[in-house]
Amino acid sequence: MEKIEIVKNLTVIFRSVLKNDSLVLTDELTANDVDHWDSLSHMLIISEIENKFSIKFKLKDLNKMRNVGDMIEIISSKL
Amino acid sequence: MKGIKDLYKKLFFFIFFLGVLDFGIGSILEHFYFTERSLLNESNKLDYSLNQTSEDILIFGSSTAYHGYVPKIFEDSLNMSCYNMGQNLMNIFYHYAVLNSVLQRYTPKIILLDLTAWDFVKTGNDFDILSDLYPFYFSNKSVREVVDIPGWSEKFKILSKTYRYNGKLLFIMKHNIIPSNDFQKGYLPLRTELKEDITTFASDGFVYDSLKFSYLDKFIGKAIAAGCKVVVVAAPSYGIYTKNQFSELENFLDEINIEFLNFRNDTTFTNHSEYFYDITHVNSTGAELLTLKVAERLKSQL
Amino acid sequence: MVFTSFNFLIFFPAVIVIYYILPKNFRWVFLLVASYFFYINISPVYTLLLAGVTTVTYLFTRWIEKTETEKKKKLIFLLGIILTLFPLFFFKYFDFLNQSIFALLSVFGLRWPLPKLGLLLPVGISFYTFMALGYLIDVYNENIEAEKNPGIVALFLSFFPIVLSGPIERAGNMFSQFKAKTIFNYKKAVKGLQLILWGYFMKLVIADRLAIYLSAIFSNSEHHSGTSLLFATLLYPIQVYGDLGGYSLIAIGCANVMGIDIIPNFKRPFFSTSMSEFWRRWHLSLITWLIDYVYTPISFSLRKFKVWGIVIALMLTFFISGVWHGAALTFIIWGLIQGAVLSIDALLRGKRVNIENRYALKNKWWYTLFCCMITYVIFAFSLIFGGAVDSVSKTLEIIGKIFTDSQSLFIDDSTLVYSFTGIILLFLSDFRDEFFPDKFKLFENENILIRWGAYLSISILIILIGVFNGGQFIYFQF
Repeated sequence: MEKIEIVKNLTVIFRSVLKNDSLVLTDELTANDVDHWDSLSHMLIISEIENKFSIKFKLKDLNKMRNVGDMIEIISSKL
Repeated sequence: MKGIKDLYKKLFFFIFFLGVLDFGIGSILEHFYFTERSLLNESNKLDYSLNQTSEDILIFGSSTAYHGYVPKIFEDSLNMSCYNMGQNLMNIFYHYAVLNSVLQRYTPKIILLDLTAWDFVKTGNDFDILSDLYPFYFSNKSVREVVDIPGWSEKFKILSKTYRYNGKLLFIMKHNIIPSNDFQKGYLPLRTELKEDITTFASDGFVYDSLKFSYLDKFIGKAIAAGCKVVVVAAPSYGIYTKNQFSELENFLDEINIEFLNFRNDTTFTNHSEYFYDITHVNSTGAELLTLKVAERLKSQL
Repeated sequence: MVFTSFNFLIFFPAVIVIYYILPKNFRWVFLLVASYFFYINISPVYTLLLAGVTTVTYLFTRWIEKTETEKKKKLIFLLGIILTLFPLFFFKYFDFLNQSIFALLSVFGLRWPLPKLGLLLPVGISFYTFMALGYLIDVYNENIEAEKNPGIVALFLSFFPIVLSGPIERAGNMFSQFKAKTIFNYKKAVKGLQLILWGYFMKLVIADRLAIYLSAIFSNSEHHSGTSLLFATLLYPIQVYGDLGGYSLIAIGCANVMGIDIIPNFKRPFFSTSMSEFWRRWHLSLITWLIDYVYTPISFSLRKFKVWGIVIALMLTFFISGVWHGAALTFIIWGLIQGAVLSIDALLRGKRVNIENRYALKNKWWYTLFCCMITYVIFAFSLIFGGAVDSVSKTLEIIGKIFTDSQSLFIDDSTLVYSFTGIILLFLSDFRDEFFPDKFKLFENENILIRWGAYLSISILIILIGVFNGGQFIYFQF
């Protein structure tokens, strides 16, 4: 899957979980920058990603995700 | 790049300016703390007690004394002047400092010492209350003696003039704007009645404080040596005590032959909530009754 | 010797002077010595315990790293966790567990004969144990390499600014700083001194003043009116903020003067518009520790349960938080309340966001104010469980009284006037930091007169209305 497709799918997930129809994802985006993206919603996002991309994360992977860019990299490494 | 020596220099200047400011503000506070000095004015009871009393009968104690003894009754019944020096929260260390100061000026005829458990039992804040005496630290030797008891750090802290008035700003402001006019000679009546059933107290788990006992001994010793008659009183309390906290005190006073009037379990009071304001303090009716009883006793001895 | 003791005012400057005289290589050694000196002064016997936990932590982290097989690694890791936690459990929770088991068994008519130990809690054990655990877990997860130098590990766990009450730091943040040969940073040192000054202000003027008033009310709750109890409840969070927040600032400031950075512990918590935001601003070092080492692993393994997995993870995490605060039912209930409130937040989040979006509430100042107030009140009421009084029955009595009894308010004018002076200044400062971060600066003003005026004013205020002798008790007249 190309990066653009990953970002597209990711955007759908983020917008639905965080109830924000205008959210735009960038590589440097972190939880601090987005309303309602906190530890309560993060795991929901993770779970949706696993379902959508048919991948399974390890706990170690989560620790390496410092921003959306890292997230995209890890997702694509598992595809 | 500024180095550590620059920091030390700045700190030195900071401490210097702080010292100057501290001295300045402390001096202003000192001035206003001592403005009200009239004889019968309650504005500065501490100052009056330490430096200005001349009455024949002096009543020492904490809040139980402050609200418990009516000087006018003593004056009428014994034909001597009387002042009630009772002060909230104070303990034997305070009383000792005040007695010493008084004896330097004159010899009262009768010293009535009202004691509560705080005067011989260890509590967590035995010395904190002495902060009220800080404004008198440098002018009064006895005050210095008791304030210095806890340790050397107090000596250091009190060098700060503003620290001497720590927590007293409101007091100073109040008493300069609204000087009180109470002519009850130190006594403050409590006007309401208690309306509850009497409680039983286990009253254990306390520790006798040998330091406090030694100051009690010193207090009485100094008073007797000066030629005063000393009477120790325990005010009435609205409670039943399974253990007598005062037994040690009773023995102590008995050994040195000092009259101890113990009203703690006196049935004239204990069954009558109408004589009390709260569990440990009598109200104005109770105070009048208590004073009459003590005055009777004193009269019979003179 | 705690930060507010006279001895510390001599200890700390002495440490700084020697620290900067010594060559950079020896500084961490000196800090280790100073930290143990500091700890021995407070608790000589339990210093051995601190050393013991340190030794276990050092040995097990090295052992884990050397081990090849996953299975063996896991076993060593679990053993390390148990050994590290054991002292904390033993000293803090033995009597409580004992009593609880006793109570539980007597319901069934069984007797539980173990005697009470009544041990004194080793100072700082809750803090250094968590720091040790965090390091152990980080090594196991390969987030950090095991430190070969035992002295650095020992310094990490005993570092005197943070050993007593936190902030709870991470090995990853501290090791490199201890080993770095940093040159003196003037700006950082000044910032540190500012934090220390403000920390003392928060603790001595606000927290300790309020404590006099509030403890008079809470310890005599049977005799105070519901109005007084309500007032006290609403003031209590400010006391805790002044206390723990102030203390944390002093700790961070002290470390800053030595050129070491420490994570912040509070970020203007009372401007939170929800409890989940509150827990991103209150006692941060503890919360991030719990999130990283408890909440995330648990919610991760339960993620297939979606929002319910999160609820379970929250309840467990805050249960642990409650237990960490104290070995009593009141603290556990407090923790569970936090978990419950956050769970409700998580469950209703979708609906709330929809309403907020529909009516553009986020832009309305009165909505923000309303949310802040509700959040504050929720936290305040939860604190009646979390530390105001020491028994559940008393807590329930107090809550009942608040809603039923409306007699007069108990006032002690000097305590209230002094604390409110402090509270207003604190509020203005936090308000400025929250909404106008670069304006109205006083400590940070370019003009040296304003800066020094501010330093001197705050210092004099501390001397004038700070509480220095642990309690100018109110004479309680009810």
